[in-house]
Amino acid sequence: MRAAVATRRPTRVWSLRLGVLLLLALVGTGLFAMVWTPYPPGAMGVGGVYQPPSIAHPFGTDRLGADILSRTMDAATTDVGITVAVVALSLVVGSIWGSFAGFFGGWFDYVTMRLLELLNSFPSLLLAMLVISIAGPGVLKVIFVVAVLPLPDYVRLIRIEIRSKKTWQFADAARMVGRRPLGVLFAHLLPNSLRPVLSYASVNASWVAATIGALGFLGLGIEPGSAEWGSMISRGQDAVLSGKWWVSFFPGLGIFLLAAAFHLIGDGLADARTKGGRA
Amino acid sequence: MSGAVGKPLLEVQDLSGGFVGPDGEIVPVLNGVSFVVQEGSFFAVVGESGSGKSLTALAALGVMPQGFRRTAGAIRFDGTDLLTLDEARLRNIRGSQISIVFQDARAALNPVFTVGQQIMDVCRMHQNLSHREARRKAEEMLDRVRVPEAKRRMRQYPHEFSGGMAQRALLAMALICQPRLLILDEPTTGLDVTIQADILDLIVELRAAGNMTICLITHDLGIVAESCDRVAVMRHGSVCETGDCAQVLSAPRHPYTRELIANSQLEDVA
Amino acid sequence: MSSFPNSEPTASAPVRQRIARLLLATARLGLKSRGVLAKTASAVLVIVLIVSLTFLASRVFTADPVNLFVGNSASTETREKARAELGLADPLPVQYLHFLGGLTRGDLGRSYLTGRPVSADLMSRLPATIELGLYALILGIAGGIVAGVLAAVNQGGVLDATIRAVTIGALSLPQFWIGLMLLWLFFVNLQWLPGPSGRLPIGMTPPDRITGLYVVDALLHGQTDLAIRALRQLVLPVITLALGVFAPIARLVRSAMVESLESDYIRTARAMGISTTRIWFAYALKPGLLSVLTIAAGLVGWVLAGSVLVESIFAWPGIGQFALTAIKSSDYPVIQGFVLYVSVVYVVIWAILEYVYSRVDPRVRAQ
Repeated sequence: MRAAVATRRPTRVWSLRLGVLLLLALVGTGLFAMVWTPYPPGAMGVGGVYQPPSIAHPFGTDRLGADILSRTMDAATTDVGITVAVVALSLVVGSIWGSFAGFFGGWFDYVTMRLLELLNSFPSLLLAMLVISIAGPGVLKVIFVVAVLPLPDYVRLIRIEIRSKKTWQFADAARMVGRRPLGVLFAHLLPNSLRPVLSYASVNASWVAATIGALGFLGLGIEPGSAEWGSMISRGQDAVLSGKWWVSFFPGLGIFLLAAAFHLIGDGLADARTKGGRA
Repeated sequence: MSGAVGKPLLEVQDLSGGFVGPDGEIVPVLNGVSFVVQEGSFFAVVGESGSGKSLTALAALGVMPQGFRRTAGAIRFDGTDLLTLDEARLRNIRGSQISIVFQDARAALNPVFTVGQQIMDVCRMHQNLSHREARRKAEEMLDRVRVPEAKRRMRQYPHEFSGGMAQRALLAMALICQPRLLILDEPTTGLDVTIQADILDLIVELRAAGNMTICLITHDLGIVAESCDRVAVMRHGSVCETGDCAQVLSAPRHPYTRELIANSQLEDVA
Repeated sequence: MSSFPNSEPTASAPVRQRIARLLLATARLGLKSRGVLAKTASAVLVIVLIVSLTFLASRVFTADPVNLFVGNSASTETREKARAELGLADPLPVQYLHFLGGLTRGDLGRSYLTGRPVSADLMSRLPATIELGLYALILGIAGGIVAGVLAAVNQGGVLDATIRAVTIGALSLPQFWIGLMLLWLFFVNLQWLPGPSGRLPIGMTPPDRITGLYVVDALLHGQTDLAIRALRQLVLPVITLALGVFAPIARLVRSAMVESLESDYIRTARAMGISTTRIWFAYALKPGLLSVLTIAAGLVGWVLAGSVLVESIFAWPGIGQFALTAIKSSDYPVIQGFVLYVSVVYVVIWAILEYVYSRVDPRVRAQ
């Protein structure tokens, strides 16, 4: 055990660092693309049609002669932005909901648990597909639907933490000096219960990134035609099968790096916690 | 306290080692442990927790915890240095020549296999037995360690056993291949006093029947005084006194031994 | 259990929490509803609830399906006629009763697009999806277990680090993208494997149906060449789908194994001279396998969802592709059939898992 910790620690720190670095790079790209891309991302015919990667077009061009680097950068804004928004939404809603359920218990807790069980009795991605196909495409709808799906996990994680802590002495002490229950919950219990949820959130974020891409790929995401990695891959499908790999490769790489960044961060966070807990 | 002494069966000689620390340096835990267990004797290693006594026993079986490194010394069993043997040879000795019973038997048994399966596995690993023969042998063994309804107990899982029963099952597992040396690592710690006494009686009885050498590791001087013939007192990873049990307990030479005896309020026993 | 969020374990601590949670939930389920009858009743209730919700949602929120038949420019009269023919003119509760009535007879209605009975279409496409999903599950689970065990016993070593990198990679790869890239590499570029032409190369006749799985059927008929052709078609889609099964299992098995390798009972096994392979693959693995069971339902859900993506890339004539077409064109009867199929699979899997779990883990059985 002791030797294992000694040899494991470097990879763990390394994983967290690499993840954060990757994420910063992708967020940076997304922000940067809002002010500058090599070519206007929507512009057709800035190069020849289906040009392989070259110095003028490092990622090549697509069937309309648009520059894939510019489009991939432009799409980074969309994909990274939506992913962050989705995770933030489920994190906030899940934490508040879960802490109420855990803190007050009773019928609210019961209804919550039954609702979550129902939500969990169907595969998430399929549910997302169905709901969006019914509700129609749109950025806000996608954010909302994808944020609701992992909610059960957030609620449960927080709920368990709060339940285990609400009898802690410092909570009692705070109650005794006259703080109101909600004050105790948000000032004392919630901040002490966030760690497992945060590390779950980053793993969940990589699922979100992949799901946004998958919805785009299936044509069920945001408005068709907008720059989004999944739909770019989908539009390059035929080209790839005739040998023009670059059309789909680079947008896919974007999804992969975004998902991997969150995974690495999640791993690092989980490890940091394990380490702290055991050492 | 018989002094029936044969040739040396287990010799621990100048054993030193420790755990690899975070920066690769070795934090010493054992500092030159030496003692000799004679064939046929009932040997005791006494010391407080953290004195390295359990670690020495684990080293004799080559199952040190991860991260432990030996820096010097030898452990000879019947003349061969165990620490130079490869894993396959060592495996042949474990369970069949040298066996061990750990404390907290319920944790020492695998929760997802039946007790019978685990006992049978040990004897099938060392002896070329059919499934049926192994089952019969295991049942007999459970009978011998006085587990009632051995046949039914065989099919149960460790969580269905009480602490005392689990300790007996573990004893059956350790004894099924009739080992020459049985190491008992705090075998009664954590059990009720009456059950402790039962188990100890059982061990004494089995030893008498099986011509077995026993190395008992304990912090309980009462047990030592009752059943053992030789004793080694360990402290801070080394042996500070060793000798005949009656003599060490009645006329301790080392101050630490005296302290131990005083602490355990042994006046009435010794 | 949702498909994706639960199928991605992080390192040991949160996984353990989730396992504990699932263990409790499973045990509670078993306690709450004793008896096969009660369990079946609650399962049917869940299915009816899900299907009803789909029914309601699809009628209330979507675009008018009459457009599929008559076009946007049709006159009101034509529209209303088509609406009546489709049974969409009735009030919603009546439509719902019709729908439930059909359901009890195994009648899921007819596809708006093809006019064929939905249940027949689903059944004829089921073997293709089973063939794909089953092989992917087998490959993914077996590979994941072996990789997890190897990583755990080499903890901190090079192999461990490699497997860790591979699994993080596999978890982060978007399925639809890796499928496409594998096609580019092995079909377009290297020409080792066939392209996305479905279950057999174009122009080949499938074997006579026994099980519906082409490879098995071809072998049973002694058509070795056909079996190999069918197998070659399977390689890329199966790998694409299996990656997502492999990675979470490998990680989960690793963390469970690392924990059990440090346990007292493994020390006992070693001290008793049990062989290394038996310790790895029986004594240490079996407790860890229990944790794999807890995410198994999630993995099946993942394969169900994945089949939609993978089938669409590889032109695989299974249920996933069928459902995608239906979803894109608001073909309600097919969507409802698909939802029914998914929830039935889900409920059945849960029931099986619960049973297996109670058989495998003596501690749960005891409760």
